[in-house]
Amino acid sequence: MVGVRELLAVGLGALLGVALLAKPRAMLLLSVFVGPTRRRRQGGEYGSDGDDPFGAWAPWFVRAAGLACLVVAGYIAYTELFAAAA
Amino acid sequence: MRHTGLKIRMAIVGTILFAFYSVAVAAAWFFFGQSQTILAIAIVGSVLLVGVQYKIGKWAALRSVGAEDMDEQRYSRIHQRVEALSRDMGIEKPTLKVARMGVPNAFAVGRKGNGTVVVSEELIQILDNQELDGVLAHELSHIANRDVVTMVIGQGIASVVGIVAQYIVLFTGDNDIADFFLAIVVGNLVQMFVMLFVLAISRYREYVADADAREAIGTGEPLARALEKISKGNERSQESRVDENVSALCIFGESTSLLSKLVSTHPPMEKRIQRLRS
Repeated sequence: MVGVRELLAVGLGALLGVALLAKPRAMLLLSVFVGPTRRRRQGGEYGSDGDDPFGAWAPWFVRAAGLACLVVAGYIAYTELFAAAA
Repeated sequence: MRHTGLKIRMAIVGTILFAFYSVAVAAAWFFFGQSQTILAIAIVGSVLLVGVQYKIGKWAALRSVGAEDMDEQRYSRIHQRVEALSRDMGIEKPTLKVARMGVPNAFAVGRKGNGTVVVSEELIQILDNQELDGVLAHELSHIANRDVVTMVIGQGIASVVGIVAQYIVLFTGDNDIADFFLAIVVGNLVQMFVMLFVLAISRYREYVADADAREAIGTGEPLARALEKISKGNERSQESRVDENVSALCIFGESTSLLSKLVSTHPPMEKRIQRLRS
């Protein structure tokens, strides 16, 4: 029988993966690693966060993390949910 | 009482943040042995995390922009104005530094009594004396209001709550791949959720610093003009970049949606200008 944790891992993992793929910049801005104090001085002009407080590579890094989330969620779905049911 | 509405909103969001932290510490205590040692580790660990983030943050901030001491002869007017404004605000004059950031910018780091204000050469070049006073007063307000420390504490709480959530999921499971993955996902989602509240506080504190700057120099007009000047320059540079890199923007561009507003450290420029002039 499929457990709640497996379902949560697939559901939340897919949710996070899609969010990282669809809105990489917003997800990056929500990370503690690029918190408000850092963003105030990096890239942004006075009074704003600027249009690109990170390097051009950063959104792609986030997208790659999103893709990895979807792959792992898919793998868990396949092994724990579908394979178990079969 | 000054900025009553803003203070009430900040108090509410601050209470929510503290509640998140309390729940995280209580959960750590409950799930990891219910002993005083766990409680002490959780609290001391949080304080250490915030302390280290503060120290490293200040050092990294100054280093990342290559900030250098502001020459007292060359920038004598700025030194005099900051001294006068600091006296009016009841704080010690912070260390002044100048940096070439490539954009007009200024920021404050450190705490009351040991603060540093960094101003970019580009900002000094484009603003007139009054506008620069407005910007300096705004940055001094951040130091007087302990905003840098507040934001570091907020980020620290987000980190602690995320870490605790991650470990609870990890240690209450079967240690299979699903549990390991779920722990990482939950830790990140929880941390991002708490950061929404931290960023809300960041935006409130900008309004408070604007209001304090207006009070310090007697009018909000110079700061409003400075913001307007910078934002118009920013719009122009964005337009030129659109012409040059349309395809790149199509890939990276994210609209000014509710999400963009929620993840912003600053309130919308128009609103700030409007409040400064009201």
